[in-house]
Order: sequence, then C-alpha cells, then structure tokens
Amino acid sequence: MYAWLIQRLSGLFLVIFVLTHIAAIAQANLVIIQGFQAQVFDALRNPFWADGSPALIFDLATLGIIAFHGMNGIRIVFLDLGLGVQRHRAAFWISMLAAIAVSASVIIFGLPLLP
Amino acid sequence: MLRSVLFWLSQRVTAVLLIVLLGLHLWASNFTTDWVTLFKAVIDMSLLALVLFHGLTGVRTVVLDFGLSQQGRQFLSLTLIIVGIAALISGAYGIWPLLLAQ
Repeated sequence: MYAWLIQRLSGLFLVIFVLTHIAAIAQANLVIIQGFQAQVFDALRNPFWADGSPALIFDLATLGIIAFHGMNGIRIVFLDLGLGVQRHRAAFWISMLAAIAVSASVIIFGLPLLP
Repeated sequence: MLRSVLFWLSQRVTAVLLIVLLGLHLWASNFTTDWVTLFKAVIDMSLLALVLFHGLTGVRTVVLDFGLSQQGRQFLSLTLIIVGIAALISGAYGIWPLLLAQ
C-alpha cells in the first residue's frame, strides 16, 4: 500500500520536475536577458559542483526519486505480467536495492566524467 | 473499457521505454561529447513526448481515483491535453538549438 502511495507521490513530483525542467531550458533559449542562457546551462551542467547550493540537494533528491519511481515501476510491470506476485514484498526490497545501486552508480561513475 | 486497457498498457510500455531513454538522455547531456547532435535531438524529442504522455496520463489516473463527474472528466482531459501540447512545443523549442550547435 505504501509502495503504491509513494509511487503516486513521486510521480506527481516528477511531473512538476519535468515541466519545470522543460520550461527552464526553453526559457534559456529566449536570450532576452544577457548571459541568462549561459547561467541556466551552467547551473544545469554543474549542479554537483555548486558547494552548499540547494541545487546539489535538489538534484541528488531528484536522482533518488527518479531511481525509486523507475525501479518500483519495473516491479509493477513484472507484477502485471504475473511475475513475483507471491513474493511482492521481497520484490519491493530488491527494487529498492536496485534504486540505491542506480543512484550510487550515477554518482560514483558518472560524476567523475563530467567535463 | 477498451480505453482503460489502452491507457494501462501504454503506461507500462512507455515506462520501459522511458527508463532506456532517460539513461541515454543523462549520458548524452552530461557525460559524452562524441555523439552526433541529431542522435541527441532524436533521443530528447522521443523522451519529451513519452515523458509528457506518461506523466500526464499518470496525473489523470490519480485525479480520476478521487472520482469526477462526466463534465469534470472532460475538463480534466482538455486541461491535460493543453498542458501537454504547450510543454511539447516549449520542449521542442529547447531542443532545437541542439541541432544548430554543430
């Protein structure tokens, strides 16, 4: 039940995130304000470098929420296919481990690759 | 009935596609400079369309679970379609410079 509720809440968060993400990039291309485009892309590209910036916490939280929603979503697809119905509780925790693994690999392997 | 099944099925299909596209998007936008910009633009446009469909269909499911009148449902659908089209246009406008970059 809680997985269902968190899936919905994270989904609603991600809709707001996606709409904001789209609006931010589209507005960055309206080069009305001098240097605004560079600023937005800088913030989007280097959020992890911004020490003590709320962007860091926000981006890490969003990464975790996306990983949760995606991995729990895969579990739901498997459940709908009739796989793992009897062990859905174990499947939930496996999907949570997968979500942690995905977030960790983006942070550990992805970050050092940033230009 | 058929409509519900199609919405349910499309949520599952787009979910799987989104996981793949999201990985490619993350990689293309941050971690590689080797990929052809046209390829990046195709990834981003597909992701944009699918994520809007998946997300707004999800919002529809959540709102409908609270129970709405026939008129309310129509208003909801119309609102979501307008939001979707507006976001699709503004997103495409954001992706467009990718193609001009090289």
